[in-house]
Amino acid sequence: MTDKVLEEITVGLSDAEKDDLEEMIKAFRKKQSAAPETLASEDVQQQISSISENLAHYGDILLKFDSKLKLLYGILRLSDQKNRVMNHRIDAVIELLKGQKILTEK
Amino acid sequence: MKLRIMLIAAVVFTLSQLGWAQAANLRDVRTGKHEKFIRVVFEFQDDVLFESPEIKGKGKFSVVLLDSSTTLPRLTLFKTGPVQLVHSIEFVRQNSNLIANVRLSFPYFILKAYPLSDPNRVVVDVYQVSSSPEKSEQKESLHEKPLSETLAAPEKKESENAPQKILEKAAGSPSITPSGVEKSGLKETQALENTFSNKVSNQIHEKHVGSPSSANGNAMTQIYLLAVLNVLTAVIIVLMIFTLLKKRHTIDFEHLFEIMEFIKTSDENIETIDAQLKNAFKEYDES
Repeated sequence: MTDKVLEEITVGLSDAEKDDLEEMIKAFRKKQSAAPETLASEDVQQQISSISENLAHYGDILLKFDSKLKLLYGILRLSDQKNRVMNHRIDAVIELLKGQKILTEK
Repeated sequence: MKLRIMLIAAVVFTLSQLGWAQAANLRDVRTGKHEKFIRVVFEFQDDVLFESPEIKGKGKFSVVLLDSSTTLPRLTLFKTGPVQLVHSIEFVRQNSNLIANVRLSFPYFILKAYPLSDPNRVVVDVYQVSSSPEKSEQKESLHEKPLSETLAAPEKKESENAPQKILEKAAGSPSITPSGVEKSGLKETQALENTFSNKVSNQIHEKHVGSPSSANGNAMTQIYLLAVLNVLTAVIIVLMIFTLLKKRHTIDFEHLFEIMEFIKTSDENIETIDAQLKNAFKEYDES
């Protein structure tokens, strides 16, 4: 039950969001290289290219965070699973000890 | 656990004792007028012990039937007449004993009681006398030789002359015997009284054992069989308890074995999860 709930939780970006973000980063980098130099002044063009560069950079950072977040979530899930198994094991050991005690009393 | 076993043992012991304490069942009472006496017969399903009947006053006597019970009506009234001289028979329970109070339609009498077997009976012969017999309150025993001789004949007569002289308690049929019988009976009883007065001068207060030697033998065999049965029951119960305990121990061991298996499986699971965690941390570090 709990495992199912955990599986249903979406951590980080979904695949579609990730694809969109990658497309956007590519587009920013493309525009930066193929920017028209005729209409706008040189300053404005520089500002636009630096903003696009920053956006592409932040996009990369976001993607990295997303992958790290997913890995961390995987670690948390495994830890939780281990905790549960350990709890059951401890219960079983207690029962075993009790049973042995009853048998030795008999 | 020990308490449970003790309880089971107590219940078994109590149940087994029920067999020993089985009361004799009085299944029929009949009265009949004979030539010289009136006979009251208590018929039982089993062997019975009884105390010698006691005269309780004018026309009354009682018999204590030891360790007995009955499903017969508490009070039976008879329509008295020339052949039915018993007025009523009342049964009173006193502890495990049954007391039969018999009322007669004449005041003075002497009593003679003895047991018979096949079927088991307690027979009380009432000899009517004309005057209050001081001595006649004394009791007669069958064990006295002359009496037993005299008693053998009337008992046979009981069955032989049944259609003529014995009155079943339910039957209120008119007398078949001639009217002169009563008078002749009186004379005979007076004569009998004389013979009895000599014989019964020594009061016998001891309790009679209500079964003859063959019946005693049967009773002893039954007792031995019951004892053997009790022992067998005890052995069977001990074996059952032993089997139950053994089974319970086996169940306990099976449960412990299951727990051990679970612990092993969980250990393996933990190892797998640990390996997965290690990989996850490695990936995280590398990313």
